[in-house]
Amino acid sequence: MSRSIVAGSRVEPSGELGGVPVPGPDEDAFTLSVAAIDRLPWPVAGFPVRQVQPFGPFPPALAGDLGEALGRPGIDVRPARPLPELGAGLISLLDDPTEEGGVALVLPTSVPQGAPVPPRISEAIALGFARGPGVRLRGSSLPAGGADGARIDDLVQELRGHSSARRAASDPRPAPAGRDVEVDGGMAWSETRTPVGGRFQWESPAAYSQGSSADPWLVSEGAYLPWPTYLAHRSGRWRLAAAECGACGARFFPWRGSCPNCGRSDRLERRELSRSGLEVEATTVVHPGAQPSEFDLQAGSSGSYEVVVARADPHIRVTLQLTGASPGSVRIGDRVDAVLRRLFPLEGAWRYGLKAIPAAPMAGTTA
Amino acid sequence: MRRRAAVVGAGHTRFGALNESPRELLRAAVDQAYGSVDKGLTPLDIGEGFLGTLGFSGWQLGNASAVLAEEARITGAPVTRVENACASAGFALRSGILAIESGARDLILVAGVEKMTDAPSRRRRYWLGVSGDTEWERMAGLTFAGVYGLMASAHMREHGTPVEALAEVAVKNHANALKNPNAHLRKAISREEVLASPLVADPLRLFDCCPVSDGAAALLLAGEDVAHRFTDTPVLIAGAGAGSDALALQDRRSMTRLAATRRAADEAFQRAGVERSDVDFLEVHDCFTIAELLALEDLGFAAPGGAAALELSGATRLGGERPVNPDGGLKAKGHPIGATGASQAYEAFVQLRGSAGDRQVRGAETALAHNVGGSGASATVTLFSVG
Repeated sequence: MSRSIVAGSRVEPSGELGGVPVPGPDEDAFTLSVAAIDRLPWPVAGFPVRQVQPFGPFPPALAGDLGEALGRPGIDVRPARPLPELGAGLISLLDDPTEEGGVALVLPTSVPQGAPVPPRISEAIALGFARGPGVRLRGSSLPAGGADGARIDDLVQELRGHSSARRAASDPRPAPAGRDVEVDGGMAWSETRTPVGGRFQWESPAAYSQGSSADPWLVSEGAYLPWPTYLAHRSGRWRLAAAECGACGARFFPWRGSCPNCGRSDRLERRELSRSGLEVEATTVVHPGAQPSEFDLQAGSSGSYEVVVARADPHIRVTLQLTGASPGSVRIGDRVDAVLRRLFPLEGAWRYGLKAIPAAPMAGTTA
Repeated sequence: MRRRAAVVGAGHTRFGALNESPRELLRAAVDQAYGSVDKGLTPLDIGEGFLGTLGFSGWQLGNASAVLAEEARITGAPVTRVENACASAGFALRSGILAIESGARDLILVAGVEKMTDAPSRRRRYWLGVSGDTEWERMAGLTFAGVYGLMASAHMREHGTPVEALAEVAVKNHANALKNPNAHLRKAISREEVLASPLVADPLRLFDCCPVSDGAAALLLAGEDVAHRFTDTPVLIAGAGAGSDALALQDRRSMTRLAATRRAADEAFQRAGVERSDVDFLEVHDCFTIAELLALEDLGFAAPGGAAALELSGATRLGGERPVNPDGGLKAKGHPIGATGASQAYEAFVQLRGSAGDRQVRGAETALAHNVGGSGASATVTLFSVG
């Protein structure tokens, strides 16, 4: 039985350095990949996507929560692996006649063979694999031909080659040389998170090693957001998931255990708010010295930043830091889009959350 | 008729970057309060103590009230730490008032202390945001300068509030602080200097922000029926009110009005049975200049959007129709977080006894003190009158 690539999506990093695209200071494989996967049609060509294999320097703990980031809490997410292992996993999935769903693979474009590995992740691609005849690329933002398409085709062909070879040989193939992927300057995520008595014990990585991120000061000083508390609201933090009370109709954000209007807790439903076109109601530009210490690295490297309060719903406002635009460029009355970005490292883990970017012009309007 | 509380003694350390430890500051303020009691007082007569402190930088986060008991030499009496961020001492005062009004106690010690300048700057920045909404606002990169910057931007948009009105608050309060020997910033500034100072959280500039200060203040409260044992000139607490609001700005009904302040004011005026026109001067919570404008509007001394004109008219200066923050306010006197609410009551005490020196508000008989926690999650309003 043959399988096809039926959809793909690519997200470009917002920054550029000397003509080379680089992620912004608050972007990384996680945020770019989530954005890429977000653009995929779900289910892919009629097939439910049941598994996501994120690829790239993901914090394993967050890879485990990627389903939340995608707004699909039930999906099976396998943690990031080096490419040979990932390839083997993919091959086994392709080979498995009992596997009924598809798989989405997220990877940096630097992965395909022959391409030089850039010092930073330049982009992320999400691919949806599902059963179906032929090999076909579809998607609004990923060209079916051209260099990008060819590279993806190469990858797929290679994976199939692995598959055939493995069928021919009884031993597992050794990993092809030179295919370990080094991304993000070689930064490796090595946190582990193990359940202890129903809670999670967090071990900081031995080498939280890249550049100034390794600042030992970035530890809690008595008042901060512990990792489990942070993750408790991840669907709100990452997707602007609010709650709606089926009893009284009230909408509120973030999720609370009972309705702040009528007090009932038995008819709360998740309502994802639109992350596009939020109207700004208040703004400020925070200058270096006025930032919380978690943002010291950012303030030290990029200086001032703008923070806005924007309306996401007639009854819900959110507070977002502006990114991808110069501080002060967004005014009250302007519209912004909410995008997933990384915020700051703390105790060896990045905190992710929504930030604001100037809203994309609406289709059909002219500048 | 309800039993009222009266202030029979008060003490106040200098505010600023001080060498003293939190214990030393507390002891100095309490000893001064003891010394201010005209007919003397035995600490062992104090029935209960309340301490306002945030515990800035992590100093004695738990059980700090025991430190008050030790330094005040009242160990054995029940003591409680009250924490409502910048309104900690305002709420400690409220606890003392309620204990006396209820008849449970005859004599109460209320104190507030904060030691903020001895922490490294990074730790200080960490702590300056701990009373804001940690889960959402802070994750967007905000401390209170940023939160009040947001409020200022919304107020300007809604009412056309000019930056000159913000600057006027700073100029006035610095001028008042020059006459207050306890004040942190004793330096006259001009409107031009304010408007040329560096931006901190647009539209707020450096001179729109209160300083980071150390200091302590202490109050002795007695039931009005027993106050004469301590002094012939007690200052009555005519009425006290308090209120609360959502922690995060994004969750409030309005970003330009403080519902907690309005509720607290309504309760205080109702309980005191006085009118706003009776108030001779105000001590309001001006952690940032915009906060003084918000306070005047929410307390009912200006219509929404009307505080800017009131400030620019000069009516709020010393010698004006109704002075606001004659001691220099948080803006210039300084803002040791947990001490501020007690410091405001200290000012009411000395003013209403006519002993405020150069900054005396002539003929003052009724005063209002307004203390806000954070960006408005909590607030107290207390009305004082001559006994």
